[in-house]
Amino acid sequence: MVEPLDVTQVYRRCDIEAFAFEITSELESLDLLSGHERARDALSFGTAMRSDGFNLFVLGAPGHDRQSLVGRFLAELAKRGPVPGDWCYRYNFDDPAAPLVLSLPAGMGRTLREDLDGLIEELSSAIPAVFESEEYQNRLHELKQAMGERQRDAVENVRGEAREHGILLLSTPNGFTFAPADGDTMMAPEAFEALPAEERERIEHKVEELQRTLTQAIRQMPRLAKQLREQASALNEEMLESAIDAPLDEFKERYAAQQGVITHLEAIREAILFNAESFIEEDPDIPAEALYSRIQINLLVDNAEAKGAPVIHQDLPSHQHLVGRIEHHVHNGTLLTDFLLIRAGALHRANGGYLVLDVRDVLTQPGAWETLKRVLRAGEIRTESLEQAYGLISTVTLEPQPIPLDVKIVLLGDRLLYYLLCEHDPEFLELFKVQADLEDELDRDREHEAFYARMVATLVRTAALRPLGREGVAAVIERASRLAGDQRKLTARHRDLHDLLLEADHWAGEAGDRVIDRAHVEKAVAQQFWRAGRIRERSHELFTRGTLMVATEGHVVGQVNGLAVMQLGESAFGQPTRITATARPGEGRVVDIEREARTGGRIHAKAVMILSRYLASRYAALEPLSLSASLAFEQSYGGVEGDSASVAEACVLVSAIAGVGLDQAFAVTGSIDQHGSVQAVGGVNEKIEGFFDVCRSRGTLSGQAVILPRTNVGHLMLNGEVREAIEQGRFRVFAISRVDEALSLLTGLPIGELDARGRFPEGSLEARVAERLAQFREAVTHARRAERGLNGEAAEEKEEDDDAP
Amino acid sequence: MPPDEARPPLGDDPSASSAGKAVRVVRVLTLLDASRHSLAALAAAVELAAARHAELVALFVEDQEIVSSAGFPFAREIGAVSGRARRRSRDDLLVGQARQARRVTEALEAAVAGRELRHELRISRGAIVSEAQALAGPGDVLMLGKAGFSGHWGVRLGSTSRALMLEAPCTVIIWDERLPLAHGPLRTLAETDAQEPSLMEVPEALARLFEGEEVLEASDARDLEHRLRRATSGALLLHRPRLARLAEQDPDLLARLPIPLIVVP
Repeated sequence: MVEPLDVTQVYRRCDIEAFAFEITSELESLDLLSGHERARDALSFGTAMRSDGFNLFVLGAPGHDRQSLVGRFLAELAKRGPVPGDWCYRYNFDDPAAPLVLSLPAGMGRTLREDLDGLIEELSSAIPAVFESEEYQNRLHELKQAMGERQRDAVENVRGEAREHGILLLSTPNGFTFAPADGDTMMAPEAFEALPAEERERIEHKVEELQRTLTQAIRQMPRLAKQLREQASALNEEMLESAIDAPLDEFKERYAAQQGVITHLEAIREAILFNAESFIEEDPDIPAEALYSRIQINLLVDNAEAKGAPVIHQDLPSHQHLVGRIEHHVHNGTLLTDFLLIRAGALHRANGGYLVLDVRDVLTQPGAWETLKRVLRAGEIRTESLEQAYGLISTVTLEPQPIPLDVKIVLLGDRLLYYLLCEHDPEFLELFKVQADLEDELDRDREHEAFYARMVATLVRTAALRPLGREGVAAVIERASRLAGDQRKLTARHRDLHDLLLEADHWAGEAGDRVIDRAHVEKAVAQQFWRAGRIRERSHELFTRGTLMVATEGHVVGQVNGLAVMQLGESAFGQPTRITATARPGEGRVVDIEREARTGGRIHAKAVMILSRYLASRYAALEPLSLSASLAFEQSYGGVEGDSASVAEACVLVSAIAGVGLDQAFAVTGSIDQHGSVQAVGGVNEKIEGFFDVCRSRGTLSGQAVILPRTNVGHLMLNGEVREAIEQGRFRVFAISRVDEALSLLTGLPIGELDARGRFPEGSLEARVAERLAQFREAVTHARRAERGLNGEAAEEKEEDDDAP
Repeated sequence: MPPDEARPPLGDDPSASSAGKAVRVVRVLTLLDASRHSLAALAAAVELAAARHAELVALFVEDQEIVSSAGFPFAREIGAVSGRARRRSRDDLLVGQARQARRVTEALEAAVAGRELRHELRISRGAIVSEAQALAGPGDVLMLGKAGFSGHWGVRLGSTSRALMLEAPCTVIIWDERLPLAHGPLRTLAETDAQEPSLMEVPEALARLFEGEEVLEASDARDLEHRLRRATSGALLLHRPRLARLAEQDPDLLARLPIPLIVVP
């Protein structure tokens, strides 16, 4: 006969004698990744591999505090890493739409920016001073005067020559004309006609000559004007050089080792000389301020104060936040931008170090995943807007020179996402070659309990909570075991543990205690249970009031208590469910009503098929099973899934076949195989506690019991109330490994074995079953004969109706 | 509306014509030749006359010398900018002058349209400078455009303007069509020579057109140009002897000044 489990089997206490401390503040902190050796090794490997594609994906359940686990590891690693250099953008004087990258040693960017500001200040006072100077003004004036004289002389010379030959140069509205002179005035045309022919011819000839000369003189005016412009611009250049060369040379000396800076300075020099009019003209095309702003640099990433390699966690990994953005100023309704408005993204800041991203966030931000992959493939950061990247806009904007990328991306995510990406994104494994898989559970043994105590101490210290006493730590470990749903495991999900400690600390504070003890931890657990308990209580109330019908005493044929688990977010609770069966003669079918009604799932359907084959092979190995049975989960409206009720279903079918009542004080969970072995199921703690709660709320406990697979005993971590009832014998838990054991417990009858004559012992369950099945067979045979007699041969081809006796 | 300071063209006190506050704007004269410059000066003259309630007299002179010069068999006009010589007959010139006279008439009517302004267009024949000098009297203000050759060899002051500026018996304003009529200070030059009229002797009527006065310390033409290079509004007032000296130092200076120039006798 199967004996009930004793209280030590349903709960594994933590032995505080093994703890070599009084309170956790005595314990040293440890690396929280210690329990996750595999993940830590993967992280160490992935971060050490500098080759392309060896980026990391940290897999773990949501309860893992992945962010802080990995963050701490990387922070430690980064401290020892080299500080990356500064990144700047500088003006591209050849193509202003494509700003150029300037890479500098860490900290030099800031210095350079300040030095350039100083240079601008120096130039902005030195250049105007040069153009204001007497020297410049005089030389320019001389140039203009000389040129004016040359222009005037060109006409005056003609006028003088004409005068010498008795000809006047007259101004007309559009230009000039020549006329013979009569003293100081113009000769009348009539007087000219009166001149001797020879004289007239001379004058005419001379005028033609003068006209040609004047034409030539006028035509060289543009050349003279051009000469003036060239001379003026040479003068400007000469003056500018005197103002800028000294400060630029001094600057070059200071930054001699930085080729990028030298190139920039040379470009600045050329630009200033080329745009001299910016400093002279009243309203130049390019104002001097604009020219000065081109000297500046945009310090994109400043690592002046960095202490090691950067570790950046980007909590909103949108496209813009990854690759940076180009901002715009609104000016008279127009959007303007320049290289100074390029802003760094997380990739820029993490360059030379680590970038930690939550994969779910990356996938939910439009275009961010593709951007991240593109950047990793290209090995450079290209700052462009999403619209630009996808060609949705074509307005003029900047195309900054890409910045070379040397970053280790660490993605944090659920396992599901990792495997989905592996399956559906062919590039994923190319770019994220290293998986760091966090453990969900740690082994529970003496060594790990001590280790767990240190982990608790670390969490407490980090969160600045009250220390825990030994009993407090023991309670936490026991709770961790319950969270793992295993006596030999401890949950490794830090967030759950962290929350429990915070809450226990709160209750310790409420109680005015300085050390967190078992009572505080248990109160925290109870409070969590209470807060999440509204639906559980409403559900149990339905049983108490009889709305949901469950019997917890007496014997009923064809009815048994199954156990189900309801999962509601993070919390879960169990409750009984009434499974009923009917049996009558028929053609060897077990009708799963849940399946027929399509409220049963596939696994459930499979489980019913298995159990019906088990019954058939057990009770009708050599002859047809003349049985028509049905199975149903009563008052179940939400659908049934899983195979954990198959032991109960087997028992209730046997009860219905044999017509033997089952003890309703029992609830049964467990699945069976085709040979009748009982297999483990999930949620046993919740199921037992749920049944216990329902039984207790209906009256005094009188030995109600749960039957569960023996292989599930190691998973039991039942709560204090259940344990107390077990201790007092008011509630029992039976562990079985064969379905016969359950039948024996439920019916109270011996199972019975075949004797030498092939018969079961009188009064045994098997004898009852065999007898009833023989009756069914007879009934079926009789019915067939009767049918044949009535309908002749044709009736034989008709399919058997289940309802036909 | 009667002119508030109407006086006979020749004032009672002849000494007042040389300089000083007693000079009052009696008439605003302007020379018209249908060029852009002169039309710009006309607009400014209308403004001034309206502001001072003075009579506006526009003078259009048909230059006889040019017309007769077309009578020579070899007569050609050489373009000031293109340098191209082309034949123009006497008839062409006469027709052109008639057309100009018509345009000038229309321009004047358009300029004074809608204003209660006494105005007159005088058309005469002869040489422009002598006709203008004959018309002008002390107390008048002669408004001239900055005529001359524009384009690729820079703006120059026309010979007519130059002659009138130095010789006209009245105040002369050289208006630059490229400049807007902007209020600003009236700039004068500090004088060290006691022989010159004193600083304060700015015609009151003109002073009222500007926002205060500003005295420039400029020793010569170059210095003056330098000091005025950033000026965008107001005007420069010069007494004639000073102007003559500046013109000697730099004949092109007056053409390059960026603000209107007012010359008082």
